[in-house]
Amino acid sequence: MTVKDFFRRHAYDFLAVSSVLVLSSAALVYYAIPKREDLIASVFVEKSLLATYDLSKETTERTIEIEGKFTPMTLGIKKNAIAVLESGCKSQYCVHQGYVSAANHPIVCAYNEVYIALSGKEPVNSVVAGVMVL
Amino acid sequence: MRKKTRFSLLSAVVPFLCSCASGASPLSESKVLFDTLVTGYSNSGNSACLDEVFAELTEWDQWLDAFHVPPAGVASIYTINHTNEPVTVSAPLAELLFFMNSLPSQTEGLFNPLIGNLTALWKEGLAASTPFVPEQTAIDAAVAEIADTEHNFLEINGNTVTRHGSATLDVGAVGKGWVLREVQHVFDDYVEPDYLLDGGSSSFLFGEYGKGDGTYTVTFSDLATKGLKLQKTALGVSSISEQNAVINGVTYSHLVNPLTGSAAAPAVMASAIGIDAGLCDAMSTVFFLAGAEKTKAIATKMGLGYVYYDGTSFVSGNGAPVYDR
Repeated sequence: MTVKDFFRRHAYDFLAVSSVLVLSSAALVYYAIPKREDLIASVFVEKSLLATYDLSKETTERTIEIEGKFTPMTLGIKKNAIAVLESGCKSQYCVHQGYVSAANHPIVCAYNEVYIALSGKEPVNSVVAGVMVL
Repeated sequence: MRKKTRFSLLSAVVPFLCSCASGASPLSESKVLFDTLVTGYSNSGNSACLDEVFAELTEWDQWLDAFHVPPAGVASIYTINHTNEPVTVSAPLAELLFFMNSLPSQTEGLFNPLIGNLTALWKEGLAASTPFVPEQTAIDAAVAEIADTEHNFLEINGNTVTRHGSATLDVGAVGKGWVLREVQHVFDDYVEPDYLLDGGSSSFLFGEYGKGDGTYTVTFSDLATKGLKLQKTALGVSSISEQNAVINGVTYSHLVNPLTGSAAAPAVMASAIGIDAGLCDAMSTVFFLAGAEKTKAIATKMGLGYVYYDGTSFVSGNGAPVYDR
């Protein structure tokens, strides 16, 4: 049997196996590319849980007014992201963080004792270290 | 030959199908404790384990509270700070206080459990709407109070604690780390290897991440160029991020030197790495105050990894697994 005959005889086998390999590779690439995670935001004021927002269900950007310990605050919410847009705190660290969309990245306004924790369904394997105690 | 083709097809499809299978969903739980946000992660989705961790943390939160009257029957830091009479505390709290009492001699006085009045003085000034440096006479008086160990000291006999003198306790530099150390057994009890416990972004407990090389990545809010890869260890971090005030060009932080009374920040960030989260928490504060050279000496004596950054130079040692970002 010549090489040509061999390939002619197994053309459909090669086609079938190649198709599966291509599909598998495509799936592998799809799952390997990081995608924005579905997140839930829990907003705490002082020690109490004020509200929980399923950020995956937010379709349009909106704002929410809350009362911090000392001043009112404005939160911004959009699909899988949350931010402190306005706060009466002097440092404005919370505002400068902007929209956050990572489960391991809380937003803290120490002055107003407001904490926003984000949780998702993806495994967490990284953290940002930096003190945020009152 | 057709059988071979089918076999080839199956062989190729099986790994693909397997890749679609998934284990339990990862879980996280957050709670405001110790005046900060504590978050626990169980990447294998062990909710019972996290619930038990947070139950223990909540109990500790009562014991370590220095600002509120505790519930009836509970003796806390507040209780001790408001009397000179003997106070019977829980055995775990007594153990923490005993540990704190041992630190001044091991840290050349850079850690002092009775720094409460001095830190309160600075907190009042730095947290004001217009931050100010406290009067030097008040700082000197608070430093003298701490230095007067003949009249200001903590006496611990079993679970009975007596605070002598006017100096007050401050567990801020060690409390969260100690508590993380105390709840670590829960993860072991549940045979839960893939966990991460974040105490206010300054104290951490790391298990073994279930993928890749098993390490968790730590980045620093005060240092963009370096990070750490950690597993099965604890990390204590002291930094000026989000907690500083610049007055007349000087950066002041919440970390106060008990020997000089100064809160002028001598560093930007210091971290301690080791298996004991309580020791790491306390030593990160000591490293922050000590400077690079003394940090190296103390860390080596205590068998801790360290990283230290003063804004211009970065040093690390004793096996700290640093990587360039």
